[in-house]
Amino acid sequence: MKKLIAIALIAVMVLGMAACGSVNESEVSILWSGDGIVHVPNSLINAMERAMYIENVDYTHYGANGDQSVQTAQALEALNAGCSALVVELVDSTAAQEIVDAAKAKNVPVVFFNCEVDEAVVSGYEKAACVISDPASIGEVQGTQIFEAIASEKKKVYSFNKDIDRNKDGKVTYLGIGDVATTIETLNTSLIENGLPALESVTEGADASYIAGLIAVDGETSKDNAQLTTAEGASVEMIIVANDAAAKDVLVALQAQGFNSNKLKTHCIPVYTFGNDFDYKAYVLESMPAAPYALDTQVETEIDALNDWWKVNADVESWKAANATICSLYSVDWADLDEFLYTTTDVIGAGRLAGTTMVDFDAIAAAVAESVANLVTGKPVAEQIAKIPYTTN
Amino acid sequence: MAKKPVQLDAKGYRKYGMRDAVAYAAGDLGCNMSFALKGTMAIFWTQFMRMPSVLYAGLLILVQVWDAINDPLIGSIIDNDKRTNYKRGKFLAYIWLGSIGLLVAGAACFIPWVKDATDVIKGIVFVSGYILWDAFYTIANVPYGSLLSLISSDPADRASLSAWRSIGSMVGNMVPMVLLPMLIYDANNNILGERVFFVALLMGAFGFLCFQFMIRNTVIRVEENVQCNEEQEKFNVIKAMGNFLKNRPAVGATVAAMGMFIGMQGSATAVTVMFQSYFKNVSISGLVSMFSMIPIVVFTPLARKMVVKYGKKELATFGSICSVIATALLVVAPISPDGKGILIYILCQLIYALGMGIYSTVSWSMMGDAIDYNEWKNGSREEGTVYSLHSFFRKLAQGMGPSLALIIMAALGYSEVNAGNQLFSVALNMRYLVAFLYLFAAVMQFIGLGLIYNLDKKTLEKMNTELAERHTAQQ
Repeated sequence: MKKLIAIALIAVMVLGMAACGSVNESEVSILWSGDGIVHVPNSLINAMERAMYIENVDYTHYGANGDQSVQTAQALEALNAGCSALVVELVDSTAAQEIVDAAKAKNVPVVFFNCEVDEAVVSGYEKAACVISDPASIGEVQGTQIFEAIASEKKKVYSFNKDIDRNKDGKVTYLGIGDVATTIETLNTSLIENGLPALESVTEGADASYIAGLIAVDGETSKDNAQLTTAEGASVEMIIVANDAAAKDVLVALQAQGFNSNKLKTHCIPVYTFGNDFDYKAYVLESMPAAPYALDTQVETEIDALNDWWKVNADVESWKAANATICSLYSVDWADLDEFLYTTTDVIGAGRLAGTTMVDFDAIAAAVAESVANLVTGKPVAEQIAKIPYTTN
Repeated sequence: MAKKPVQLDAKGYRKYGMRDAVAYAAGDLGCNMSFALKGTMAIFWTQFMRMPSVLYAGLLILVQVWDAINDPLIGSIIDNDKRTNYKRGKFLAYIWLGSIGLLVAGAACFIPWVKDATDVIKGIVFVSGYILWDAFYTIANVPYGSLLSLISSDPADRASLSAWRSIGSMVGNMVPMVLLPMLIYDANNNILGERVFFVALLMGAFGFLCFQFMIRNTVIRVEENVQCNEEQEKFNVIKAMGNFLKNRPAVGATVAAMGMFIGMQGSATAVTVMFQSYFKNVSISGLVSMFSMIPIVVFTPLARKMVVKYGKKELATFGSICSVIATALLVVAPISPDGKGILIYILCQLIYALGMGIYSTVSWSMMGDAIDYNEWKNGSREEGTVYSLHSFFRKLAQGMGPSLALIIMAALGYSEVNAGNQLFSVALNMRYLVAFLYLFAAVMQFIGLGLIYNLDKKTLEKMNTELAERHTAQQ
């Protein structure tokens, strides 16, 4: 028994030492355009922590708080301190050359990410790389996402006729807000290839205010879907939006018509958007009913205080306490506000949005971490400028 | 075709065989149809119902304290019940009663429709549901555990019953373990609360069927009330507690079980959060756990032979050493949040499960032997009380484990608001918390089995011989 225990302890010790030996001892400086603090799970900084951990890279975050001069100073300081690599999310892309020159002088790799950098700047230094989202993929990804949703519903014929083709005329009519041409082209190509009719637009060049002019038509029974129709009788069965700022306006307009409030499942038009930086907190505050003048002033002061507070704190419980006054002013339950706290992806399940196309934080972070790990160990990167396709929720 | 005649033993009972073993296994399967959901409670109440973690941890301790009081009460009620007019014996009668309640009591712990209520209302609903479930579970489970020493007095038969109980427990754990994560989480690794309620109802119905099968196929072959030569003393709970604490086998087996529950039950929530946020794939958590059951499946058929050859204490201690090694590896191995990391995690779990499998196949029969030890040393079996006190400490550990773990999780940054998508730094903390909780469990098992439990093979043989001589002399 004693021999057995001794052997076991030695085995554990050896394995432990082996595990320790594989840890990467490089110190990488990650320079963020924001505050460099991890606030929420759905963020690039959180994805970066995960990716760096997988690649066994030790790192330190630095935040520029929107000031390029601060960021450049941080880069120079890190280089002078002997960092093994710089990972930079530029505030101002014109600062790239200065940082590359400084890194080149120290023979230190530099990886830019999530910012547009002149290709000549990156290719001018063999230890430089850039990882960005590929804007050309937005329309394709969004179009594919919507196609998959329609095709999926089409397999369940009943739900397609009920939830997608609301007026059962055999085709889907949509409202496009902003430049959604590539999305529609990709989507219609896929639909036609699969024997489904192409989407048809109810109008061109509209913005969210168009929704206010639509007519809400209830279903025949309380369980049938309601519709939003034009004066000519065309049903808006889907809304495709070019960006989440416009999506906010669309949601406000829909909710003014009694749709997409997640209260009635029959009153929900699928809305597809792009982006996941939607400030839903501000949306909630804006969509609250008007209050008496005295309260407006007080609320305005509260909002300013909250916005300042939000920059340095993201603790939910503290946010609740900080919002208590506003909640009581407008008699809004916390349970309703709670759903608006984070990004677009968090309200998709609540039915307000059917889907979003967004920056693939995980893929960008993984590509950055891999580039850093390769460059620090003297290996080349696959491509100096990596373009990461967008993803969907 | 003529029915095969039932073979009878020397006392005229149906000879012990596979039917008894499978029936006994069905009993634990029935118990686990509600117990298996317990691991989901913390995630359900914190992430879906949005009850603050610290509040949930506090309420859990509260209900577990009640649970722990509840057990010896039921145990002594059963021991003091001297009626002899039960059709199938008093233990099976109580199990039948418990099985009726467990039809719906499991679902009572997962009422989703008060999600938007205040924390006070949610707390009341949680506590009420848990107490209801706990009452019926105890009424079924306490006599079920005592049943092992009453089905057969033969040590090899008891080892077989213990092994088959583990199979029943394993199936009762494995099936929900594999299927539940696939059913109750969405694509973003968030729990679907309403579904959990209906799944619990279905499991309650299946559990009821298992209990009915067990009741109809179990034969009691050992006297439920042992007659001793000396005048039988009045039943005394305090004295029974004192005897229990002097019963080294009972204490050792209990310490091992407590360690197992504090560690494994405590880590259940952290494991789920780890799969949600570290590996980002909660739907495979059940499959991973299933892989780790493989050693138990392989070892169980060998249990009886190995017990005869090596002895229960010896085997269980070896198993606990395997568990210590495996869990130490869990701590130090480079388990990264990707496929490679999951493979290493599974490998560690396989070794851990081997140790657990060895222990679990003999654990229940160890309590049977501890009950015999009570009779050997103190003259009375008090099986209801000994087992219920064992359950008391197990329940204490079962409650303390998840509560302590949840408090530690909150201290390490776990936020119920983030649901299945925690910050990576928190996810990493969960990865290490899981490893350390498992290690704690394994070390406690080693202490309980290797250092406290004193019924080695030689002592066990001596005890059984002397008890047999006493029983013969009484007749």
